[in-house]
Amino acid sequence: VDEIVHQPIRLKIMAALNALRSGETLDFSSLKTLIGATDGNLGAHLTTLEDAGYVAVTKDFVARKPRTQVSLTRAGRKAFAQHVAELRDIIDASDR
Amino acid sequence: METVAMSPSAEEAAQMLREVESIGTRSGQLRSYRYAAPQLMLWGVLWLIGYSASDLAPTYAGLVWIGITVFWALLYFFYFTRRGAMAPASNTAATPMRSAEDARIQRRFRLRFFGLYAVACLLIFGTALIMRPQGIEMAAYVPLLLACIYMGAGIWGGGRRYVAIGAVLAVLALAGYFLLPSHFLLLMAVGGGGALLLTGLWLRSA
Repeated sequence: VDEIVHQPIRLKIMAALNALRSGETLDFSSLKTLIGATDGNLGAHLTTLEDAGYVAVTKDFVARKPRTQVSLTRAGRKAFAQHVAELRDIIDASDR
Repeated sequence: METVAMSPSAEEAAQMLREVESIGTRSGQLRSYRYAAPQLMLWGVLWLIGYSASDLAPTYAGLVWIGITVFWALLYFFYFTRRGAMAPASNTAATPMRSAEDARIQRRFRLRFFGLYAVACLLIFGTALIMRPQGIEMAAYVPLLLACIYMGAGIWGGGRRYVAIGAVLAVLALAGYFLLPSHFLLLMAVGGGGALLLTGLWLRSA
């Protein structure tokens, strides 16, 4: 399995982003609430996913406050779908 | 960049899939709430205008409501569907670029919206033509119908806040119709419009 996606926090991040439409973003604080991670932990995992090309992180300012938005890339969506399919295969194999 | 890890057991895989499904559902709900929030707030203002016109200037109420219906359809088509399909600002190689497929999805979404809107208008105006409700009967029927749509959508999609919004509208419409018929239009203008505004804010805070 793909270790980058397999890590539980990163899998949750990708699951949250996968529910969005192509090109839609989720802001950092919403993602943090959904995942239940700390700022530092989430930031570190996002960096790993961004380095792998699985997520795109954009930073801007809204009303002078910094805002970080995250979206899933095509490669990320494909890797996530593949990982979920692999998990299903494992369950199916155990049922046989 | 791909490294290989030990495969999880069937139990671990099942647990992971449950978490994936749970997070995906919550993320989808959040997305839906954020998308619906400004629309509900705007509907709150439109209800205030429409029901106030029905109460204060009943002669022009029909025209006002037709204007509101057309205004909403145009606004949704040109603003909300565009906004829902917006791409992020960055255009790095890793960013999901807008493509012909995205444009096709947007076109299909807009067509579906107009289809649904046409069905809703047919249902409301068709019922009105057949049943010929008079005065506040029609004014109570539309919000009750919308309340049922919200509750149905919430129950079907697991969006509890939509169920709550629908319940509030249904209680307002029924209580107003039976208990305050003489002030029903005013109640729907202030109470219904206000409830939509507040619930829009509530969804935005999700």
